[in-house]
Amino acid sequence: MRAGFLKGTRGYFFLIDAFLAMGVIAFGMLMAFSFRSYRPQEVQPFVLADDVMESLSSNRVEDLANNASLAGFYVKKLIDDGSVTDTKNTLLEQAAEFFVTQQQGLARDFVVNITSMLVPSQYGFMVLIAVNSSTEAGMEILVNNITVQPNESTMLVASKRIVAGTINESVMWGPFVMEARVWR
Amino acid sequence: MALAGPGRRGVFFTLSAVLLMMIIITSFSIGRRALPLTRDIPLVRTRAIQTNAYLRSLESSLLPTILADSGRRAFLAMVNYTKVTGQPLNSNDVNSNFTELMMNGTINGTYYGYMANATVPERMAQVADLAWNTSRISTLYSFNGAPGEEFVLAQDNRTGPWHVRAEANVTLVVNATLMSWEKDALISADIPIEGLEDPYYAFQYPSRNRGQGKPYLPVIRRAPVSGGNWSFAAFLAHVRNMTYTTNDMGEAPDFLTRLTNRSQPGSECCGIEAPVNPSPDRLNYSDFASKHFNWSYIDHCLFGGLCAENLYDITGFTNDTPGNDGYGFRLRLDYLVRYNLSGTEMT
Repeated sequence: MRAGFLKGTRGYFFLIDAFLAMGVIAFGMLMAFSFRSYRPQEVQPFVLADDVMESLSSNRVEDLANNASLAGFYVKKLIDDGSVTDTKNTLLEQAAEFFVTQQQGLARDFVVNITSMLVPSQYGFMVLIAVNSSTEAGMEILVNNITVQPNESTMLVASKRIVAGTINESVMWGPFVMEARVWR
Repeated sequence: MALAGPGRRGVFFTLSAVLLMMIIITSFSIGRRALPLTRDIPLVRTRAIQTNAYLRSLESSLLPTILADSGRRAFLAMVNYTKVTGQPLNSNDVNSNFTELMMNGTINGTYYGYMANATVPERMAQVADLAWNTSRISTLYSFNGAPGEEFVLAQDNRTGPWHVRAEANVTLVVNATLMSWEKDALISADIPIEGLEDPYYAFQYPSRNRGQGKPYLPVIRRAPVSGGNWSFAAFLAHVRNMTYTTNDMGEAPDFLTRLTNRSQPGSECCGIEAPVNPSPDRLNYSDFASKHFNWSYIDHCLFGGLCAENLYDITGFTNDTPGNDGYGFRLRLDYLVRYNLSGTEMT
């Protein structure tokens, strides 16, 4: 009788042991997968502001004009009507050149059109230029997309570039600071 | 009692394995959180991106823009120097004169205007101040090359006749506290010569005699016609406005040669020339010595005493009345062909 009982309980031990082993494996896999998965990028807003500035400061007007997009058509129209005189300007330089040649309205339209597809709608976005001062008070807003109010944001990132250029290859303007701000 | 036998040993081993695994996993996970790579910290990444972008913008945009603007002003100052002093630049000193203007705003120690607040050190100080004030990035730079000739000028096939290329080797040191860059870069800018006065005329005596010693220097502007589409009316406008064309035969001097008062050597890639308007409201060529009538009225021919063979009077333009448009105006046969003109060979 005693020997029979022991013989019957051995099966339970093996069963419990198997469950424990499965638990160990499951726990190990869970931990391993948790190490290899990343949370949604907190870095994105950090680099988004820089990406916007990088895009504006590395692409030339002629690059965008050759692009079959709404922004490309808009820029091509500006070249055709003579508003843009130097297609070798970067987009950032061109916006600043419009601004310093007293074409503020055109500067704002230009930046709105070329950045319309750059920043996802869940982010607030602003481009500023500091012609006379690098302080907040001396900055002029070129574009201001406030789908998210800045005062409701949990994170605001700014990226700055120094720009300078020449008008008609002869008169220099700048250097000025231009800044992109992205928040969410 | 029997349960403490061999059957329990398996459970003990299993629990030991679980415990060991938990210890290992926990220790790895704690260690991972405690040792993030500096480059992965978002603030460090963005600062690195911005500083790198600043360095690239210095190299590819800001310095070339400064070089182009200061270089253009330096040319204005060089032309003004020739105009005021009547002295050409020494052909061996063009780079050193240009460098002195770019760095100090002077030629041979004397200030001739145009470089106020526009020397390269002044412009770079503006950029460096902005970078420091807005981003706390410090900027140091030094120009390399032969002392006093850090900036080199050239006209060649890359520039064509209407631009002069200025080049300088620069070492940039950009320091953003957490990281720093040191980079050697070749900075270049193509400076347009259109809109500048032609210094070659500053040394020619009829030009210098006009109006109490103030020389008349025509402004370099391209002729409205290029290639072979010349009409007589276009030619007259070309002469009266003293506009410039290229000379593909390598006979005409380029802009840098003109600064040194030489008509030769001509430049195959970059020579430019203008017809000389003998009208009194331009150069007062009624003062011309008779010898001038033996050369073509193209600037480097006339002032260099060249192109004297196969001279033709231009039908409908050349005349013998001093003070008139076209007084004594003659051209070599190949110029007649180029401008689609008819003429009478000079006897």
